[in-house]
Amino acid sequence: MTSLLRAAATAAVLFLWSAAGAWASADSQGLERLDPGTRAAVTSIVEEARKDALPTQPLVSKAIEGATKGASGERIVQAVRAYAEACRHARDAMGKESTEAEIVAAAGALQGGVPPDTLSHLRSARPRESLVVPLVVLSDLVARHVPVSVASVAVLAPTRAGAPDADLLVLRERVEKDIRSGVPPGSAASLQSRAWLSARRWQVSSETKNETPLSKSPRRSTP
Amino acid sequence: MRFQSATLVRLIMGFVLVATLSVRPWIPAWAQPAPAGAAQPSLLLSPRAPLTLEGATSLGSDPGLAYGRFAHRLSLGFGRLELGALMGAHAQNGAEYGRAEGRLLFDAAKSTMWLGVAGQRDYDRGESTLPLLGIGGWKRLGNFVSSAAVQQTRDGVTHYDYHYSYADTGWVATGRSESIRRATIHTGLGWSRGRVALESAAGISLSHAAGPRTWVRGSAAMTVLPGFAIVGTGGSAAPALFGTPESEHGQATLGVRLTPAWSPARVGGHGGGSDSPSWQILHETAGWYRIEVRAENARSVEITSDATEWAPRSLEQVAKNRWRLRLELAPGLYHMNLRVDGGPWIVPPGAPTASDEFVGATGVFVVPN
Repeated sequence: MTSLLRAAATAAVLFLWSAAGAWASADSQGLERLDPGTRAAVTSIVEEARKDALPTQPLVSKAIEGATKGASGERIVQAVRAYAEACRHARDAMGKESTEAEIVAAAGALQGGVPPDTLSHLRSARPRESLVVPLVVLSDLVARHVPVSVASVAVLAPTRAGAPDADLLVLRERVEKDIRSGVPPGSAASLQSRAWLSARRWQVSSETKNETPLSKSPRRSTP
Repeated sequence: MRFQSATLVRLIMGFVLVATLSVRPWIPAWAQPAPAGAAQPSLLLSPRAPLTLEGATSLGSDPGLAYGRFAHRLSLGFGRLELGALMGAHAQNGAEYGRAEGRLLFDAAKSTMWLGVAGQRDYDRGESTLPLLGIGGWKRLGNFVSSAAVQQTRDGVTHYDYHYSYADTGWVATGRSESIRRATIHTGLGWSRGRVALESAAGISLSHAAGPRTWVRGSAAMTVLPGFAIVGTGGSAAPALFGTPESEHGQATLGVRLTPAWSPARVGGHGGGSDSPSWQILHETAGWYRIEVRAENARSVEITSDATEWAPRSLEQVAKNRWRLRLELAPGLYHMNLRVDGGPWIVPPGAPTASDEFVGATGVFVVPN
């Protein structure tokens, strides 16, 4: 009986060892394209991130991106380190309960120039729900040249007012459409956000519970 | 309703002028779009449709023409709708007129077709002209924009009858104004590169009641600072066209143009010049998307993206100049670069951008839920 238990324990240890090894090697898949020095530096950053319970796959992905784009080893290490730092700041701003997807999305937003305060405010606005979609929308607006301060308010205000993910995505689409039709990006984001809030107020006041604000057209001002 | 208030017109003109500080090139605005470096001033009043105000007045003694125009643009499912109004006054001959304009625009990747209708009221004569019709289009070819249009417009001519007056003991001329319809055919060519934008247009106006009238207009704009350009224009006398008032004499202006922040992004996939590839992402079935790239005379097209773990993926050529790749994408935000013929990785033209530590910038796109 004792030998059976010993064998089972040994098997379990071996299984966990091999699983951990497989996980680690899966994590660093693709790093073989880096030169040995760069690979060692990147692996060290990845290991450090793993110890801090930060997402590691995006760090590896960042290194591969650099390799694909022909960046120097030094540049790749800098970029991976900066990304790991962004992930760390993102988690600090949003809290330790943040999911990997949230941390990755928030790190991208931080690197786009979004201040950590905005992440904290978003978390306060949505303490239990996922922040992935608000963060994706925020990063997209910033990428469309909406000034960071305007983009932050444009996403934060509806999120605070309880905007569901679907509404935020519709808001993003409308901003995109407005920009395509020639509206300056900052104005487009600001006005669509305000349009949502107006519709929301109208909805609350008329106690129409069955429809979400963006299922109605925002009221337009006429010249 | 008779519109006689020259004071009101002048006030409006002044407001428009101050609001925009714009000297408009005397190019038919409807005929060809403003080059990217020479955006027209616009004042945003609506979240969905920009309202454009513009105006000009002659600062010299002749011809004393002042006008203001506003246009409201709406996005429709199948195209765009522009609604505009123009008011003008001529200090020298006391002419006052107003015009309402409507135009439908249908956009393709690098070209636009339009169909317009307008009505004009000449307040000093108490005459209305309806409808004025036009059809035209323009096409972008690299740094050039070529345009062509046919418009049926109205024009005023004055006939003089002479008779000998024994009372005055001399010949006396009696003028009789007549409004005639003209068919105007015109073409234009615009070019812009960097800070400089040139525009030109020439046309011939034909009528059964008067001889052919040819005209030519040109303008040059140079952006000195972002949103601030010096504009010089010139041209011969020309009939009224959509979006442009009639000018009875040759024109030459020099002025400045202030513009609000101009968005260079034409998102959703269409690039700028003919050398640039254009691209788009299309939803196929649940979770599957198709990236299409149009690259002229390309031998290979590749993308790299976090959607492909940054591994370069070659697109398949499906037709001449057309390349395609199917990808399974989960909802989220993605980054992408593309390259043609093994060249440098570039941001897909027109895509929103995020900074990238390696090649400067990467394109961003969102896959919604």
